[in-house]
Amino acid sequence: MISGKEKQMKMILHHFYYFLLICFCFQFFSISIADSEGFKIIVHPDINESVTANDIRNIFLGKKTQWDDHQRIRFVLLTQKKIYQQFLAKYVGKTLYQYRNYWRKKVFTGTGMMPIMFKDCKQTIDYIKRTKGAITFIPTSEKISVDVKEIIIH
Amino acid sequence: MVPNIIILLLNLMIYDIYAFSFEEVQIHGFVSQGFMISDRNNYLANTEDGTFEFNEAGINFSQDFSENFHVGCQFFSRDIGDVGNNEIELDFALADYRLRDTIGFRFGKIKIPHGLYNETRDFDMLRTFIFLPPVYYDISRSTINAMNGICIYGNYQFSTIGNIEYQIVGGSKSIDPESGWSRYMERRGFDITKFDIGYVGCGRFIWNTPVRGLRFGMTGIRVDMEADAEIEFIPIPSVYKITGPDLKYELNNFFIHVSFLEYTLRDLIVAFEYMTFRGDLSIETLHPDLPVIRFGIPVKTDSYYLSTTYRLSDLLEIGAYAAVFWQDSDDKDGKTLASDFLGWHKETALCLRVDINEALTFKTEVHLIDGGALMMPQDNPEGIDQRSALFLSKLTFSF
Repeated sequence: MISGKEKQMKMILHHFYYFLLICFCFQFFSISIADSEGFKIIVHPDINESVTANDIRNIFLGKKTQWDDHQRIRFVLLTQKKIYQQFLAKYVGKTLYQYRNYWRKKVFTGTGMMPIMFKDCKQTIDYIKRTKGAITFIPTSEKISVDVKEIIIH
Repeated sequence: MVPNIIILLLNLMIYDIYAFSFEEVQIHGFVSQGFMISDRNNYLANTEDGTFEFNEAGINFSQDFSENFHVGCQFFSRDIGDVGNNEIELDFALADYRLRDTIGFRFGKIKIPHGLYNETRDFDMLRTFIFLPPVYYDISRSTINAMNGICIYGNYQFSTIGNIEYQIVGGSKSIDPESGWSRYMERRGFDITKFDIGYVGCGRFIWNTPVRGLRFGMTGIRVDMEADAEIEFIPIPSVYKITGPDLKYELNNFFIHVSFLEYTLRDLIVAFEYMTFRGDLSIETLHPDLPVIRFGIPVKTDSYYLSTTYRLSDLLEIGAYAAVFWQDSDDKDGKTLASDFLGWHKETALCLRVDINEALTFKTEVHLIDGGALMMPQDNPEGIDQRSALFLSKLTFSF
């Protein structure tokens, strides 16, 4: 004998499963192919040390906060989606969603503050020019002046 | 250690900490509203009839006062069944000074490290599931959410074996007698009127291995706890009129340990955690009209879960977990209990998360539960059923 509440719960569960199915179908049609535009890493011209892929990961996760000469590292994020995603996938090992949550966890537990972000490439480069110890990533196609330095990752 | 503290104090004096500007304060917050309904058993709230008594809200403020010193605080409010009732609490308030990558200090009210997700357990938008597995069961929140004290933290980078993070916190804490832990003790027949917590120490170590995305870790919490309680239904003659604190309740050698593993492969995250909860509970009657009764109950609770989440797109994420909780790991089959299924709580959950945009998240989740170890008798006066299904949905706005 099935009670009224159990019937109601079965109905809710059926609707839940239908909702899941509809979402999966929607997902199937919304898959997009990632653009493969490259990026380069630039720093303030005062930075004169070799940087490894591991350093880049630790810098952008807030685990490495000082250059070898004890100068403060100031990383900034260019939030143009494709470049941002590619950079995170290659060096940080996180998706955009995971990376955003990583920093939000720090904010909501009091252990950190959100990184500085720019939507515009020019603003990002300007920040690197005027800020000692600064580092970021920009599209390969973006031209840079002598006020900033591109670095090769070892 | 002493030189480091002196450097910290010097820094505080050197930097112009009075240069406070509202423009430089980061403000973040969130509001969540949930709905729960179950076919049998009231779980954490009056779920059999369906309930909206399930919400959270918080707002936090933080500011950098120098390049390695910041201050933050957060106010939080929640309601889940009889717990919380939307009273505003100070969730954390701390100052953080990072001397080097390998060592930093925090002091104030600090979130307690426990497993992978304890510090973020209240923030629905930061995880896939609405309800975390029983390693983070709601009754434990008041005991292990945050504490007042000093924390030392840092991380060491090694060229070959990866990165090791550590965090050690020492201090004290207070527990509200109306909290979830009191509700758990109600099932043993005690109404806790006052908690007295001694020293609290906890720590976390995480090894981020050279295998990208793989990390192992462990956390431990040590608490000395005493409580006064009134007897509700302990089997004593009913002629005794009971007023005031009638019992002294002591939990000695209280230690919660969690070992965990998390593996991230692009959009897939797999996590496993195993928790042991150990302590010696001793109870002594205090009321002058009562016979002196002293007895001890060893606490040996175990819980583990395996979860997986997968991000399908910017919009959708799915997750599932299987979890087990034993209230007495020496009696996993519940042979000494009135009904054997009161000895365990086995739960499977399936969740769908929809990120409508960066600020708005909707989740819907189903739990199938076998066992009554985490069902409260006071919420289920007509008795506890062995099996129940729970449906949840929640909408969260965050910024």
